[in-house]
Amino acid sequence: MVKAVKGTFIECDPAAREVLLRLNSEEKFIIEDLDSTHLFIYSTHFERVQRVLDELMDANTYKANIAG
Amino acid sequence: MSKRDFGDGGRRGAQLTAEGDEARKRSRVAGRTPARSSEEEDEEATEGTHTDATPSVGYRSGNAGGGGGGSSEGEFDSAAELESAGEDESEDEQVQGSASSGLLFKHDYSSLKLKADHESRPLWICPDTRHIILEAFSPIAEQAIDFLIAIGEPISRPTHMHEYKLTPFSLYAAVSVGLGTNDIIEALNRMSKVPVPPGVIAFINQCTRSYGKVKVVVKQNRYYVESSYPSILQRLLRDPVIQHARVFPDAGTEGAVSKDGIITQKVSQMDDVSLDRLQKQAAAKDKAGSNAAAEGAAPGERGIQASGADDSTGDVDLGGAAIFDKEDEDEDDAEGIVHAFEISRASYEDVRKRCNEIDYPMIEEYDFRNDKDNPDLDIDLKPITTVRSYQELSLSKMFGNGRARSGIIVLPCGAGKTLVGITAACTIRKSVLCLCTSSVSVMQWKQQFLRWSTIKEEQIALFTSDVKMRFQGDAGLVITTFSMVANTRKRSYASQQMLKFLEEHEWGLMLLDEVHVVPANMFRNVVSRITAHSKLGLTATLVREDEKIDDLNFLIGPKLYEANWMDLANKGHIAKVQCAEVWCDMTSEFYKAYLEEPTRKKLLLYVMNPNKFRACQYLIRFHENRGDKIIVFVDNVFSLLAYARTLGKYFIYGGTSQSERMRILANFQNNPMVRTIFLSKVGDTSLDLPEATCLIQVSSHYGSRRQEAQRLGRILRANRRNDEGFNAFFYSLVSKDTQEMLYSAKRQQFLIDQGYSFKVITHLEGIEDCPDLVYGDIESQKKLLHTVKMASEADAALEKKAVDEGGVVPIKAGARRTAGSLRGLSGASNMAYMETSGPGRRAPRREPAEHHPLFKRQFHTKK
Repeated sequence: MVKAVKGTFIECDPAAREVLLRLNSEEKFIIEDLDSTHLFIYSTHFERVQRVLDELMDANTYKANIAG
Repeated sequence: MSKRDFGDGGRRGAQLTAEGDEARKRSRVAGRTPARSSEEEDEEATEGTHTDATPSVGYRSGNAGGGGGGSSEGEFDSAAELESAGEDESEDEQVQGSASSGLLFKHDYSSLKLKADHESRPLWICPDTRHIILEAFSPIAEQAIDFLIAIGEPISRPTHMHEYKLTPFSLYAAVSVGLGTNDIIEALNRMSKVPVPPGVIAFINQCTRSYGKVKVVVKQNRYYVESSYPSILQRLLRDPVIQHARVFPDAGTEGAVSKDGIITQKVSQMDDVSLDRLQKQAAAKDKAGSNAAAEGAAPGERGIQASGADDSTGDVDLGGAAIFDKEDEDEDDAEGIVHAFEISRASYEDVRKRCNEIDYPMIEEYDFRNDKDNPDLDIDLKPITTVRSYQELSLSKMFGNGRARSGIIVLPCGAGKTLVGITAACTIRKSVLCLCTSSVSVMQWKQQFLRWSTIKEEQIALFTSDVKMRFQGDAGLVITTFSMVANTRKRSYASQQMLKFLEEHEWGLMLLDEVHVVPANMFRNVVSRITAHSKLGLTATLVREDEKIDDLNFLIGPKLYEANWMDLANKGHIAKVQCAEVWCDMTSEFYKAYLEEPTRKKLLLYVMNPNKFRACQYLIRFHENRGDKIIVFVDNVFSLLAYARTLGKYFIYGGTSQSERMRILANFQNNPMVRTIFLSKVGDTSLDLPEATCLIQVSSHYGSRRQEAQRLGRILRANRRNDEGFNAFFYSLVSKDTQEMLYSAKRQQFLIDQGYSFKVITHLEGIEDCPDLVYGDIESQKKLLHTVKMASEADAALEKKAVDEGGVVPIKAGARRTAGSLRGLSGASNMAYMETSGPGRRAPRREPAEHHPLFKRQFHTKK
């Protein structure tokens, strides 16, 4: 019996991949870990993953204090 | 689809990455004083208005150039964004949209009407924040800069857009160098694209009019608040803060004492020029046109005319006398009578602060020429000494009206701060107390004094943990460290005697080296115990991460002068530097470990990143082949040892013995075989290595802007700086996608404000062609990772800087070096531990806990 799942093919750098693998250990969403720069994940998780990555990258970005 | 583009490409979108050579070459007339005649400005401004031949000098074009990419084009539609342009240079492009729209509502200046010929005018003035944005590419920018430096404080000076701010202090300085209220407003109006906002006019009025009514003077080692207007003193005395600080006169006081305890004294005209007069004097000076120019130049020259100091004194007095004639009509009854009340030393700072709040800023000026009470010190500059134009300029700000004004002079590292201090001492010619940060710099100051000035060795007294001596004669020079003076714990008999001597003496000048490093509390302590007529602070980096820098305003004085680094570099006084940030990918193993690691050991992981190792090795090799001498900075001792041993280079850290340090440094300077040394934090300051031409920073103290600038300072004095086409190189290695990116961007802010631009290198050209770089294969990388994981948490701690503590706690110098594998190096953690434990015990005193304001007074007065 063949089962079809809809997935998204992701290309990222090794660091981002590590982040994704770590996320995956909490909640499975990776269908196939292809190689060091490519992953195949469930499309349903795509937006969430993108948001988490954004947050992480933001945390490491300096924001000038423009309040004053 | 590439998911990570936004994190990289756009990150520096708005950062100024313009090349250094693109920098506008501004050749300012050397030695020009800011006190220029208004006629001159008039001319220049009108000239500017007529040069309509440069239609493209609009704001938009400037932004595109300055923004280092068109990414932000179109976002800056209204004047509202102007302010942000100066500040959010490193703003992430993604965030920029939302951030600037936030600004739009907060600072919406689009209602300001642009003048019809706004394109030829270089200034924007923000109404509520009093920031002034200058288009530095404008044809009349040069004149505008001269003017803005005189009336405002530079905030940020990148290549194309400069930002200045009007502060009360800067306006006082402007008044005292001879700019009148109306001159300032008129000149601003001429150069501004928008009419000068009424709020700004009111601010300028308020600051300049009330300036100089009250002053604080030192007499017989006590602080007095003086004014020619008794009503003002009455008003001040009604203020609770000042009331509290007041000391009532005792029977022995000179002069008439009124019922309410105000001392009234008649003073001869020359002795005490009321400040009101000074102001008029200044105005008169201004009108005197060319006269004024000569006047302004005089104070600066005074210091240089080594042998002819007497002549120049005459000159200035003459100038002063000439001006006195002009204002006879302004004389009134208050003339010659001074009213005063005494305040306690401990509350000196509070009173100053309070007076500022209630709009009667006190000025602190020392009329050293007419001070007959204190003995003169026989000191002059040696004839061979040459003072550079910017050093003159900075001193002319201090001695702007023939008196010594207290304040801080900011010059880049290697630009000759010491000489500025010495020249100031030679100008005042009274007893000098010189405070520095360590006993090493005490010796350096002594040498410099002997080298540049005619002071005799027996007139210099040192006061450190090892040496305690007095000078001979009535006046002299004492060089000591902050901690020696501020330390209130039980002291040896000799120290106590020395301290007593310092406290009883009345000092003409207090020189404070590296003012930024000293915690405000220590300063308070020093200032409250030792009286000096004038104080001069010297520093390269007037920034602190804890924002306590503002306290210095009240403890020492305002910022008198801040040099433009780019200008000095263009003139060859300091080296031109190419700054680059090298992004090193984390290997996946290291990044995985980084994500899993919850503690401070994260730091070790991004510092020990194998790709960083390789980048470092590659850069060292590249620059050694070019013939550069390289300094590599690694803050963390564990990684310092790992790097230096893996790459086979010499290294110095806190545990290195003095003799070994000297040997390594001598080798670095003279031995062509030793081209690279590794330094820990100990090398940040007061290490003079003019041979070094390249600097690689592997790890650093989090987001400390000061450290970044101080480190850059190590290569600014490069010997070869005047060679044709010479460039020094400053690399900062950063592990991508880690906290280090954040810190690195933060650290650069100070230098970016000074006009430096950092190039981002994402890939080192040709690194693949070097197969023999370390940690090339996965196996060795894994081994390295293992070593890092095995390292204890103490290893991840940054090395605490060994500070000279005045001998209270002896610093352990002779650490034993052990050879061994990287694993074995965790044994070195012992040494690192001892280093950290020392300052750890002392830490409470160096960085005192924040006290509640209620307790603050009690806490400080109890000392």
